[in-house]
Order: sequence, then C-alpha cells, then structure tokens
Amino acid sequence: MQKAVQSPPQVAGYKPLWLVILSAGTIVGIAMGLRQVAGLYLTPVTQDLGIGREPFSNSMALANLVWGICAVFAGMVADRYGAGRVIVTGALATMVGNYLMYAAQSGTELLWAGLFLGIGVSGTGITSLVGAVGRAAAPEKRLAAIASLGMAGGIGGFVAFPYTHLLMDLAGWKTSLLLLVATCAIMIPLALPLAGKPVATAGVGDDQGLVEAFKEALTHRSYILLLIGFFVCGFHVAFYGVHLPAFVADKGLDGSVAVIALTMVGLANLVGTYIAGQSGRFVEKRLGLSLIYFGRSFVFLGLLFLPITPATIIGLSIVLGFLWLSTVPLTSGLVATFFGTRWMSMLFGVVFLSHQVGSFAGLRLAGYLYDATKSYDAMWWISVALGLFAAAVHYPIKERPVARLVPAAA
Amino acid sequence: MRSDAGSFLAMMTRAASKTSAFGAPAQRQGEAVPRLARLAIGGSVGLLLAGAVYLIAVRGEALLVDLAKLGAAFCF
Repeated sequence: MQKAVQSPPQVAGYKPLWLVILSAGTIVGIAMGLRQVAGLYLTPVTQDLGIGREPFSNSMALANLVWGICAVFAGMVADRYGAGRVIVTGALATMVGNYLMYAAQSGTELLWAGLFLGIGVSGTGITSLVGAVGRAAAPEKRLAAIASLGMAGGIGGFVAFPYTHLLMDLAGWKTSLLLLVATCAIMIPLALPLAGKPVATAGVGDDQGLVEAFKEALTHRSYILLLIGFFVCGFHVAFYGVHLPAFVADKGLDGSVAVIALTMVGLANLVGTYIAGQSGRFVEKRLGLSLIYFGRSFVFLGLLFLPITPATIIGLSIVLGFLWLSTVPLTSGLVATFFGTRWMSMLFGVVFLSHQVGSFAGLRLAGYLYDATKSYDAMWWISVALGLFAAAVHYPIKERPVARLVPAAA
Repeated sequence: MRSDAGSFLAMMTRAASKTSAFGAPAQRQGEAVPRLARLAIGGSVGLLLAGAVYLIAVRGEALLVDLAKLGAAFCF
C-alpha cells in the first residue's frame, strides 16, 4: 500500500488550529499551576491535622509517581479515543483530589488526595494534550505548536504560586482549596475543541496498533536515547528548583536572592521554550537538546567556580531558565518525528515517566548528599556530569522517521 | 505590556495557513487568530504575568518561607 510521509490522524470535525492551541494551552496552564501550588498547603494542612510533614510529603510524592505512570495510560486513551474524555476525567480527578485535601482528617486521606491529584494532572497535563495538538498542526509547525503548550504550562506554574499564596492569606487555606476546585471546573468546557476520536487518514501508514507501537518504540535506539536523556532533565530541574533557596542561604545571601533567581528562571523559561519552538527552522532537534544539556553543565560549573554573589546566582538562573523546559517541545517533537502522531501522547508519556523518575532521584540524592557532606558541591558535580552525559546521549540520535513511514516519502 | 503570547499565536497560525503537509486543504489550519481574540489572549496573559511579578515582588519572602518548608519536607 502506498504510504505518505506523515501519518497524522486528524481531530474529528473542523477546529481552527489557534482554537485547539488556546484550549489546550489554557488547560495545561491551569493543570500545571494547580499541581505546583499543592505544596503550599504543607504547613496549614499538617498544622490543622496535627500530623507531621511526612504524610503530606508522601502524598505529594505519590501524586508525582502516579502522574508519571498514569501519563502513559492517559496518553494511550487520548491517542485512541480522543483527548476530550481524558481531560474531563483528569479535571474531575483533580477536583476530587483538592476536595479530599480540603476535607482530610488524617494522613491516609491525604494519600488519597495525592492519588487523585496525580491521576488528574496525568489527564490534563502536557503529555495528554501533546498528541491532540501535534495532530492538529502541520508537521513544519508542530514544534512551535507544542512549544506554545510548554509556554502555557510555564505561565501557569509561574502565576499560580503568588496568586494562590495571596488567596490562602485572604480567604484561608480551606476556602482557597474550594476555589481551586472551582478553577478545575473551567477545564471541562475547554475540552470541547479537543474532543473527538483521532481519525486515521487512509493510506498514510497510521493504522498501527497499540502493541506494535510499543514494540516499535522500545526497540528504537534513538527513542531509548531520548528516554535516557529526559531523565537528566527531571533530575536537574527538580534539584535546582527545590534546593536553590537552601543553597543561597548556605552561602550567606539574603532569601530575596533566591526569590528573584527562581522568578527569573520562570520568566526566562518562557523565552527559552519559545525559542526552542522556533529552533526547528535552523537546527536539528537532537542538536538543540545536546546544546541545552551542554549549556546546563556550564551553569552548574559556574555555581562551583564563580564567586557566589547575588548577581552570579541571578545571572546563572537566567541562563538556566532559557534552558529549563525548552527540552519539552524538542523531546516531544522528536517522538513525532520518529513515529508520527498516531500514538504521540502515549509514547511521550513513556519518556515523561523517565523525567519523573529523574526528578525523584534528584530530590532524594540532593537531600542525602547534603545531609552526608553539609554541602551541595557533590550535587553540582553530579549535575555537570549528567548534563555532559545527556548532551552526548542526544548527539547520535537519528532524526528521521521509522521505516514504516519512510517509504511514503518516495 | 506587549502581548507576546498573542503575537506568537498569530504568527504561528499565519505561517500554517501557507502550507498544509498532510494533504488537507490549506484552510484546514489556515485561519489567523481573530484580532479580538488575539488582543484578549495577549492582554490576559500580560495582566496575569504582571500581577504575578508584582505579587512576587511584594510577598516573595513569605512565599519563599513556604517553599523552603516544602523543599525540606521532600528531602527528609
């Protein structure tokens, strides 16, 4: 059978691309924002329930783990039946999760909240929607379209912290959680432009089944390299984001330096993700990823060897911000390049699981090494080494479609 | 504040209108963002970001205290 170059099943019915991106971006922004702010409830919830920090942190750890695992299954359903039902389920699960946190009377109930929050963000986060947007966009615009989702997630995460913090002060933590439940409901109607079963286009080679897709991906060398590389992204981002305030305090700097630095990371991330979305015009995605990880290593070296002043911390944070989540459009774009968009959400979900494992490893290792050495030097060195490793891992990736799609080019 | 998100969206869809790689009519993806929608999106995102930066500027220390506790909780 004659096959075409790309195999993008299209969202059923006509939806302008801008509307698809706007809906998906708003959902991702809300989802990422809500995920980030859950941690702000650590102090009030544990104080109110009279429990230690461990049940709450276990709940958040569970949410991250469930997010990583469920992203694969949510992506699978979104790719097969359409993103609409996945988004609605995710939004409802997030509402339940926030409500359970509001109503919790014990640590066990907090675990249930974490479970639902994890399921929720797996359905409404970027992994579930990347396939819908990837299918709606023409291949040459796909990277930019996915990057706009990344930017939306970055905006959501950036603005959610200060607004929720203010809301907690003004309305109290319990009422603020109910307002977050209401905010989640906004995602449900936004799912409409993304609903509809993806339709395979006749004769373009996108009739591949689920099992075949998994088998093909897990035996694809470049995909495995991508999966390994994304572990490093999670490791770097989680470590820097969580431990920077403690590092700054250790160096005797004012706490405001960390606030400014993390704010700069958030803002520069938006610019970096935008640039990554446009980079497909002038550099291969694999090279872009190698450069990003290589650049991160230099930032971490700077934290080891440059004099630590407010200007250094903020300057390096700006550079790191440019390299922060700019990996997302390039990584998910490579998944689409390899395998087309038929199972894009599911296959990116698998790569994302590696990212979440990396985040977990980064946080735990940083805590362990700091306790053991009373210094972050070992972690900076490990981060430098992992950055160089990831740069090397991405370099040999072959940026071309699998054989199943290639004959179509002829 | 200049509406980066709105202009980005507009540029992207404008470019998409010129070509369509999988055989569908070009207008399948070709509609530019309506001017009103572009203004609304850009304005909303700009206001949200400006508000967030202002809040961080005036309440950053309190936010940091809560974030530091969170970091400590994850690294027991």
